[in-house]
Amino acid sequence: MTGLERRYRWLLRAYPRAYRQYRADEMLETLLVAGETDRRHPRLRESIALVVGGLRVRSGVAQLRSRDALRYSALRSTALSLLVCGVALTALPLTWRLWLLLPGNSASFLYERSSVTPALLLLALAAAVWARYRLALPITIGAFGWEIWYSAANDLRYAVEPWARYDDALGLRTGLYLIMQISTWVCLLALLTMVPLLRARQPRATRPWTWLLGATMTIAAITPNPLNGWADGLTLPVIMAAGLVAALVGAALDVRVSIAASAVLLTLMLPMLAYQPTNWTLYGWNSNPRNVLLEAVVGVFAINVAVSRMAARRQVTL
Amino acid sequence: MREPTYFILAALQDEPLHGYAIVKRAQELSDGRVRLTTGTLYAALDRLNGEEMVRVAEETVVNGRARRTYELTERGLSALHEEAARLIAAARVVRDRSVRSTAATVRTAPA
Repeated sequence: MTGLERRYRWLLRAYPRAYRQYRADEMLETLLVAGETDRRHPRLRESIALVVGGLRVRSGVAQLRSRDALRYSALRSTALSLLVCGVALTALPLTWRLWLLLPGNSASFLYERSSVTPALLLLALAAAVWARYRLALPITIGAFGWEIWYSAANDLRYAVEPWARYDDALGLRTGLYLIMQISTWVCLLALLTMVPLLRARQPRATRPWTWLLGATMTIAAITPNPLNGWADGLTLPVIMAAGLVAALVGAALDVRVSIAASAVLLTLMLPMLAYQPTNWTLYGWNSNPRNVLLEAVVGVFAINVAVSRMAARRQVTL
Repeated sequence: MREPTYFILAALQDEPLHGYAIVKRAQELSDGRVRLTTGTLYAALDRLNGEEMVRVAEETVVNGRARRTYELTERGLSALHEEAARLIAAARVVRDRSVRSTAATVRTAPA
C-alpha cells in the first residue's frame, strides 16, 4: 500500500462504516487513477470534498431526496432543538433541586422559579425524540399553561421593571411579562413546528438517544449549574457563537443545522425585542451591553436565515 | 438541475462508464469547466441512483478493488433531455433578442 493510498483510506473514514463497506474500494480506485502517480499527498480540494461528503452521509442530509423530506426533517430538528434549548434555559431550579437530593450536597441559595416547566419540557422532548408528537404537543401546551398560571399566581409581572407602571387591566401585565420570557417563545415555536409534523407520515425515529444526550450536555455546558460551577452564565454569548458555527456547518454540510439555529436564536431575540423598546423610550438608546447583545443576536439570526435560504435550495437540487 | 449533475448524465448518454471515466468525460463535454472531485461524483451518483436516473450496469474487480460501471436509465435520459430543452429555451430568449436588435440597428442606420 502506497503512502497516497493510505492517506486516502484515512480520509475515507469520514464516511460511515456501512457506506465504506459498499463504496470505499470503488472510490479509492477512482481516487488513485485520477491522482497523479508521483503525488504523495491528496489534493486539498479532493480531501475537503471527501470529508464534506462523508459528513453529509453521516448526518443523513444526503439521503433526503425531496423538498418535502428536507422540510419535515428540518421541522423535526427545529422542534427538538427548541425543546433542548427550553429545557437548558429553564432547568436551573430543577438541576439545583436534583443536586440537593444527592447525599452530602448543600446549596446556599435556591432559584425561585418553577421546576415544573423544565420537567414538562423534558417529558415533551422525550416524547418528540421518539416521534410521538401527539403526546409531545399536549405536554408542551401543558408547560405553556403552567408558565401562565405560575406567573399570574406569583405576581411575577412586577419583576419586569419597565412595565411596572402599567395598570393590571385584563391581565395585560401578566401577558407583557410572559412575552419577555424565553420559555414562552420556546413553547410557542415548538408547538408551531410540531403541528405540521402531526400530519406527516413519520419514518422511524433515528438515534433518539442522541437528542437526550445532547440536551444533557447542553445543560451541563451552557447553564450555570453545580457541575460547571458558574455563578452567572455566559449562556447568550455561547449560544450566539454556536449560532455562527451552525451557519457555517449549515452552508457546507447540513442546512437543517442552520434552520434549527435560526429558530433557537429567534426564541432568544423575541423576549429581548419585547423588553427593549420600553427601555429605549425611558432611557434612550445607548451602547450598554444588553443593546449590543441584542444587535449581535439579530445579526447572527440574519446570517443564519440567509444561509438557510441559500443552502436549502442548493442541498436539495439534484 | 445543477451543472455537475447535468454533465454526469450527459457523460453517460453514449455508453456506460465507471467513476474515473465519468470524471474525464464530464470535463471534456464541459470544455474543462466541470472538474468533479471523487466525493462530489459519488454523492451525485448516489442521489441519481436513488432517483432511478442511473443504475449500476456492471461490477468488476480491477487491481483487487470493486469497479462499478454506471448507465443512464430511461428516466435519466428523459430528465437530461428536459434539462437540455430548458437550457435551449433559455438561450433562445437571449439569442433571438440579440438577432432582432442587430436587425433593427441595421434598418435604422443612415445610408
